[in-house]
Amino acid sequence: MGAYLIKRITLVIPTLLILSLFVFLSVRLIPGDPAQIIAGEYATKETVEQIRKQLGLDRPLIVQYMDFLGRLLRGDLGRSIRTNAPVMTELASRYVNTLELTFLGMSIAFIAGTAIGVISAVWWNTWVDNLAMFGALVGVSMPVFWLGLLLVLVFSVKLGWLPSVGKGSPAHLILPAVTLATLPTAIIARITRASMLEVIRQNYVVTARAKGVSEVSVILKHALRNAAIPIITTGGLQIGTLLGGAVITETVFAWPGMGRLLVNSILARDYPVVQGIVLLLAVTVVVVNFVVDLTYALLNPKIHLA
Amino acid sequence: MKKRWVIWWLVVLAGLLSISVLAETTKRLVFLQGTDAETLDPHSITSSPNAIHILALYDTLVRYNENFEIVPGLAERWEFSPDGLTLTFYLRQGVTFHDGTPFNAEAVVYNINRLIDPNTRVPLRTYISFVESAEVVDEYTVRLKLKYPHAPALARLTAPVNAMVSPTAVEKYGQDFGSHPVGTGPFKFVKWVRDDYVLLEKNEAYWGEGPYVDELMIRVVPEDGARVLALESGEADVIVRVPPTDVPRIKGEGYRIVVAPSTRVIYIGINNQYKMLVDKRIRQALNYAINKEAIVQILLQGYGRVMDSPLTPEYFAYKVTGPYPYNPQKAKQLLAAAGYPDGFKLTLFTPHGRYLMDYRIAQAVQSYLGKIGINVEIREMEWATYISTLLKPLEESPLQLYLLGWGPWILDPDQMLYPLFHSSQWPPNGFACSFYRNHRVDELLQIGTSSVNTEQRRTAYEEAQEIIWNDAPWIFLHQEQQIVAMNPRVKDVVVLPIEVLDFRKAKKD
Repeated sequence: MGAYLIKRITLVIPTLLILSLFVFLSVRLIPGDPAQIIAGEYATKETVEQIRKQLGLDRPLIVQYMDFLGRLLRGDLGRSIRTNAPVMTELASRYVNTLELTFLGMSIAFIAGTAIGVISAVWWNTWVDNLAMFGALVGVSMPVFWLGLLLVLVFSVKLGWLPSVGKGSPAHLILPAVTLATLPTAIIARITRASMLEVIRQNYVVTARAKGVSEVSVILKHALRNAAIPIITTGGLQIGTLLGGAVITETVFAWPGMGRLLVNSILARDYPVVQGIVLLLAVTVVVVNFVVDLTYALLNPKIHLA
Repeated sequence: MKKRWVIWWLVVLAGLLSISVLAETTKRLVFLQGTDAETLDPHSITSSPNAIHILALYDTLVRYNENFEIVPGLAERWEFSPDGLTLTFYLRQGVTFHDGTPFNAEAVVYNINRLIDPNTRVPLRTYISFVESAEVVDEYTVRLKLKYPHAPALARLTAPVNAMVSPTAVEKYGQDFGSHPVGTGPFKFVKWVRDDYVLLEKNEAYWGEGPYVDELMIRVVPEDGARVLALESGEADVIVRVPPTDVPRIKGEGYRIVVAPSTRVIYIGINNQYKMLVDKRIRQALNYAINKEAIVQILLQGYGRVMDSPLTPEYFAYKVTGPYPYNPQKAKQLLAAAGYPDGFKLTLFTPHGRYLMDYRIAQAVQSYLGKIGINVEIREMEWATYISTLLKPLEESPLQLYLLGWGPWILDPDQMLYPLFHSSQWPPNGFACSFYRNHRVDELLQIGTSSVNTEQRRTAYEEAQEIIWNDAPWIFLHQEQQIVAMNPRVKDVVVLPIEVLDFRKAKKD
């Protein structure tokens, strides 16, 4: 286990280094000049030059990259070009907000998705199954944007139960989390159903039933546990997507998360912030993958982490 | 064990509830807009949405009132020297910054020096660049030395970027002053949660009238529809950029709609040095070919004003010189007279989502020009790429037609006409991307920028407007309008034409 952990971590370091170089170059390769964007349409050439110099963007690329790496090793991500605040300050609050939303959204998705999938599989080919799978199809294809506004219209404007924008109280989390959860719930439900259907026909399930184990126990202990690996894998991938890609949900609900920050930073060519976000997300995804791997080992004693 | 945990949970819950009950008793005004502040340091701001925070926290020496007249701010009166090279300000006495630092001549000089120091990050330096230096005359008198006589000097000093910051706080926080703002304004800083809200509280010691609400919360809600819903659910008191299609419904529900002019004009720039576009008749033909009334009525639901001069009515020296009425017949005649009876091909560059309906407007222009035989290809560009494209020098510029908006922060023709039509401002030096050159216009705009004689300026600008309009360096489209919606309980929010809301006198019943 300890050796495994060390192996994983040593693999992560070169990955992050390559990623840092890739991000560093790719943000600079897209056309657009941050100094010009900050200065805006009204600026004179001198002002733009001054800003470029202040930002250190007049230096050769290799010097800029070395500077970036040097700071990174000291845990300093630099200052935002757009706001002049430390990148750490910019990231910290958004990261927490994004984790909060992703965590709640994925919890809903895992619980609801697995439940729907199991029910569908158990009542396979009945109207229950058809209804659930129709629901899942709607969930996969529903535009998040539209769903979000619809929920606000019903629960905030008409009923007045829940706040519609921003964050603050736990109630602020509900609508965005439900919106965010819709797509992964639908995906997890479909995977769970498929995986369960495969497992349910296995001999050990038949044996369990023959032994007289209660049906609930057969489904939850014998079948679901064995069907869990594809579910966890899909869910893990979804977490990665949600961390950086919840832009639409964040926009509709004015949720101050990483997705919006990333989009705004790319649009403003805010190189340090884009670099910071990508690296932070990469580390998070690595951690999530690691946890997923650990879960495999917990679920299936045949899998050894080495 | 479990029970104790539940009890703790209840205690925390009760605490939260009582806090929210307390919050109800303070009078909080919630304002929603689409983007967050970038910084709360006025000298570093770049955008109008950000200027709203600034005008709540800070004051300028002089400012615009609701009738767009320049009135005293932190300066009570002022005078120009006869040669126009010195501007003396007599300051309001007894004003202090939120941190207790006295506001006096020394503070003003500190601010001016910070603004003109090339090492300070001041992207909008164009609003202060006419100042050479500042000196203390006595405790409450400051003298600014100007680089050249400059009539719009006062107007420029109203720009939010020139607001006065506390020197003590700048020294204390350094680079991080933008997160710890200290001004003299009607509201004091409480908290900034990035991309969520900026919370401000009443400055009890404010020198001027107001404020009348205890707290001002400036919240970020990027989506237009979501802002409307938040107003309807009672979570917001004032919202901006209301989609025109929602206006009748919101009005019907009893909310107040304020439609105010914006200084922003939307136009199609023409590269005046490109092949056939060098011919004035062709540029005029383009103007006659487009039904601007229809664009305003249909695409903007009537919330716009068709341009009838290079300036808009809010400006000093505005003169009606147009309009170019919709007349495709005349356009065709002009094309034929210029030797292009069968038309030609052009490329139209446009941003998408930067201005209200920008892309749809580009499509409308494309279809109107198609009707007189000009085949237009639209090239949509992401904003940052677009700016770099616009600023290429003539030899490298791919521009033929380009859609753009321009919305200066002052109501002086100098900031509107000089950067866009003076030939010294061709890219990469400035933003005169239409590469227009008329020596008489250059002369007139120079008089406008440097003369301090009001009448001389007025005649110069009137003549310049005539010539520019007739030369048709752009396809003149429309002036935007701001649509603001508010809860009827809210009163006296001033909507300034620079797309900034002033909350100092705002009331909430």
